[in-house]
Amino acid sequence: MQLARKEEIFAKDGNKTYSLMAIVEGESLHVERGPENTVQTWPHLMVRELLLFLVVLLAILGVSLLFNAPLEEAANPLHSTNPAKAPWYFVGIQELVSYSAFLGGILVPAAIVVGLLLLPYLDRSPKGIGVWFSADRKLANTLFTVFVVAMVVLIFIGQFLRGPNWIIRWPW
Amino acid sequence: MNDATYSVKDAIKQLPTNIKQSFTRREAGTAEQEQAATVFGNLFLHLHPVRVHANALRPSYTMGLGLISFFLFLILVVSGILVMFYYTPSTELAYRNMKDLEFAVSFGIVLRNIHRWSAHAMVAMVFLHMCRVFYTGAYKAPREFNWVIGVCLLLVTLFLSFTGYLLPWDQLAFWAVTVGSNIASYMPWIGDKIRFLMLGGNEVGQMALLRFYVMHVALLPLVAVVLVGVHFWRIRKDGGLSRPTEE
Amino acid sequence: MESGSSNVTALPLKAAGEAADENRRGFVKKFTLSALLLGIGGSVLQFGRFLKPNVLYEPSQTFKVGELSKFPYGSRTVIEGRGIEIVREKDGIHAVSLVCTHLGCLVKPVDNDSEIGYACPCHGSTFALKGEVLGGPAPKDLPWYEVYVDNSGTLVVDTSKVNQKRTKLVV
Ligand code: HEM
Ligand code: FES
Repeated sequence: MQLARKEEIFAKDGNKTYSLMAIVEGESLHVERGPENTVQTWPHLMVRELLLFLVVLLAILGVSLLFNAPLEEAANPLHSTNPAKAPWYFVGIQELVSYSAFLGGILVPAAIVVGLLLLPYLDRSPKGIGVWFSADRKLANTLFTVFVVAMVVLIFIGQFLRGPNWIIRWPW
Repeated sequence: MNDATYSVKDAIKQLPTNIKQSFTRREAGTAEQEQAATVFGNLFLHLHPVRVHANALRPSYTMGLGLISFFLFLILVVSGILVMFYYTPSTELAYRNMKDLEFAVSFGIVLRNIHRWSAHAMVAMVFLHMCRVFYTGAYKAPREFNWVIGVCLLLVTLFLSFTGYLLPWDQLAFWAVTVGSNIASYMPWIGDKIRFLMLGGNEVGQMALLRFYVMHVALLPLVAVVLVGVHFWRIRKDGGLSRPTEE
Repeated sequence: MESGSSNVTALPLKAAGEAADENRRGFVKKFTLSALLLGIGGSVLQFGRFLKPNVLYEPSQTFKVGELSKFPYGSRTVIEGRGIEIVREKDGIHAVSLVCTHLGCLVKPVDNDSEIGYACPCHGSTFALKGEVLGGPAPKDLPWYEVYVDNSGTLVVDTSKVNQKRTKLVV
């Protein structure tokens, strides 16, 4: 392995000890902005974060005042609901399970989790960091989009198109 | 050593200032120093560095999705603890407790709604956050391991939501969990054992409700808090949020 | 630092005794580590058994379903709450599970159909009169459970024992 060569600006003198004595104000080439284009966390970042919190809280409060969470009849082990659905985020998996239990229940979820865990170790190219939909990563973006779209489509079918007896029907 | 004179009278006069100062641990400085001290002098805020790169502030970059997930988690903790005051993990009482929340407890229904809708929203937001991290290539070196922690967080979020789903003990809950636990039993060799351990028995009953409850209110939130802590700490250690290389 | 040492002529760095020393240390280290791992891992695994309940407060898996006379020839009787159906035909009695082998919903007996005996409401699996899968995602046939008549003439079903051979009880 090759190590990056470290640039020593001030070579250390082994006979001396060093410590930071003071930070002085100075003039930098960055006028009106901090070194390396940084800004003070307080207030610039914190205020935005607090604002976002307010927005989230208000949104949730608004929805909660308008719509009630579902509560059906008390659980009854003697009567299955028709159809019986898993929570929406697992409905895509359930849709696969209704084609093949092993494929949908085990193979696909395991492949998704393992794939996600290994992703950063398989895609080692440093290109395209920090840019949305970088053109350097066409293949990766396409593959991931296929995955996302597949999930969304499966969840949509399972959640909205599957009616009683798990028959495909239009939701309206 | 010169003996300063301490008088009770002075102490009372300076009471507010002294209390405030002991609380904030802050001494006067320049505006920048004080702003910096606000962040590093606070246990919770010092997860942030004192200065952040301007790119981290661009709403169009992160879309705030990770932060929204975190805020939803906070809302879930608070509303969840409140709902717990009226909830018993028993097959006889759970459903009645839900009805009580709806009809007999002041703001009970609102709190239940908040808890339920935030839970759904959190699953969606965490997923979107993952998409954002992917599409901006933010999982690449040196942030690989934070992505791994993120995947664990996604799983914990899903399990939190799933275990919570059973607690109202209504038809929706019962059959969704019956179906869900049977999906797990398709695992080769150990599937049935896992289902037995998960439900604490052969069927979705009292033991299953209790197990899901313990996971939902104690174990999984604890894991989530620890993982979120590590997730945030690593963002700092990895040099702040990802950003394009500067020209 | 390390990368620069390649063109330096190698000196005998370690005396023989030192190498043996290092060997021994490596062994002690490995030994300690494996002991720790074994000890901690083993106890964790053992305590894992704590999570497996030994006593279940569920209805017993062996239960009486009633006098034989309650099941006339040609009858199919659903035992509510037990997820089974008692089928009595000319050539014997059997108990078939009503728990769908797909994801555990309760299948509904279908009346007046020469082929389909049971249909699952959840994802549409169908089973023949004897419980074999006809269609849908169910991977296995509906199992039959062991049945016997006890000394008081009552029919007993044991849902912990699957009747693999699908033999009917002749009475
Ligand atoms: C409970 C769930 C989660 C919470 C609360 C959370 C929170 C956050 C927050 C607040 C940030 C800062 C940037 C932003 O707001 O986007 C962040 C960044 C990050 N998250 Fe998450 N996250 C969660 C789940 C995940 C998941 C599921 C993944 C991926 C599988 C992930 C991977 C990352 C990575 C790699 C970063 C660094 C991004 C960068 O440097 O640009 N996180 N997370
Ligand atoms: S549970 Fe019967 S078909 Fe899925």
